[in-house]
Amino acid sequence: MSLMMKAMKAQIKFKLNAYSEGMIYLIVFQIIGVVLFSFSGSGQMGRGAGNFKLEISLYSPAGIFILSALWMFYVAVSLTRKETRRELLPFICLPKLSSISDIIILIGMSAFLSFTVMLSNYLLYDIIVLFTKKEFSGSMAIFDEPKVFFINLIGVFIVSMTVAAFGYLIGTLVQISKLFIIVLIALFIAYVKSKLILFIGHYFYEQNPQFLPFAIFNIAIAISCFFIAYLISSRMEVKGV
Amino acid sequence: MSILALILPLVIILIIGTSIIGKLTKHFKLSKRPTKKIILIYIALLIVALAIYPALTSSNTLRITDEEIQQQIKINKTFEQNALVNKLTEDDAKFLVDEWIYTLKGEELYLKQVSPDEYIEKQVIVHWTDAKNQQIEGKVYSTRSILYNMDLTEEIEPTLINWTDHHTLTFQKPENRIEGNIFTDEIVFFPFNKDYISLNANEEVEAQGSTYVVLKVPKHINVQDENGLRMYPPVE
Repeated sequence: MSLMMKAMKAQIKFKLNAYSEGMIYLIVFQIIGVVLFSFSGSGQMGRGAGNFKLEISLYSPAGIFILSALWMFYVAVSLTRKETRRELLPFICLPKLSSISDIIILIGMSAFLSFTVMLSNYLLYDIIVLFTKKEFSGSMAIFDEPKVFFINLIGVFIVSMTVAAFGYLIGTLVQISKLFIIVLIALFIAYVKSKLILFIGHYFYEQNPQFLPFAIFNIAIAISCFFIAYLISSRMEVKGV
Repeated sequence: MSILALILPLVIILIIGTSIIGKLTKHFKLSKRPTKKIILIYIALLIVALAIYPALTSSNTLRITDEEIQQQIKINKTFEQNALVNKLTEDDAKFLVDEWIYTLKGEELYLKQVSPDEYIEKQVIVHWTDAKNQQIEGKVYSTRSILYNMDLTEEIEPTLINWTDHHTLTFQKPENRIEGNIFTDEIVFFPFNKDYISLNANEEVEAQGSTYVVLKVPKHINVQDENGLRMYPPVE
């Protein structure tokens, strides 16, 4: 058992080193997001009330998070590529542990992503305040509402983990056969067209707009995707070049 | 628009984005040492950004706390109740924005909207006096408006009120277009966060101020309210 743990540790360390370049692209994405959303915020809303019309620019980490989730999805898919596995194969003593170490790395990357996404919003704020004359209602910042910050930090972590799990499962399935791309697109369209999406939306946004059900749902999906991907990939034979 | 039409662009962006990142990562190769340095510099930059946030906020923010809002909601309600029963206190005088005395011609006072199709809140409170003259005493009050933790009172102009043809008091909605900036840690599409997207009115967290025109009218004058602008005290 301890030998397995040692091997696992070594794999994680090695892979983290190998994939650390990917982090740079996350940083690039987040900086692009900061520049992009500094002009008009990540959302704009309007509302009429009594004697006035109110137009609000919202500066939230949502936009930066979407860009970062895109990166997460790409990283998860790329970990399953045959080329990536072949490159790492000579350095991996226990290929069966490879998926588990991949999953641990993806969870670690999700943690890094969530931390940087939440903080990059403050970088955005500082840039706007220093270089423009905009005035803010800092309604929900960490110093006023630490609970809001931490609950959203955990939310970002869980959702990015789900995105990673999806990416990892999709990547693994596509490695078995390219036909899965068509199957997955068909499944996706069927899901969007079905009433299930409306039911899920209604449940989380109308009936239960709470953190816990949303978190449990996402964690359950992430675990399922990772587990299925692990089962598939542990049976896949990785051929060296 | 169907959900498919809404989600398909996202999927297309996802596919295009993924392929762009893929191409980028093939072209740029960084050695490990600068990679670690860049990551560390970025983390340090983010921590510094967080650290200087309070200093920048103190000079920049218009934030009103939730407790202050709750207090203001109560003050606004109390003002309205006092105004309706003609018991305004000295404290209520802080909401006064204009006052005048007008000598009416004839015995009819008309209250009219300039644009009847426009929605204007009920805002005229009439109190009767025993005076035998034609003098109408008017006081215009505007209570504080706090929405999304922003004090918008200074930016909201009260209703435009004018006398025309010696016996008509006209009301016009001002062109109030207010822009605000909200900074938040909330990811707007997470269901457990505030519903910023629909921007629904929420009386529990908003102090919506109003304009009140309190008129003191001699009893012999007949008030004609064609557009339903008058407010009446609650019936006991």
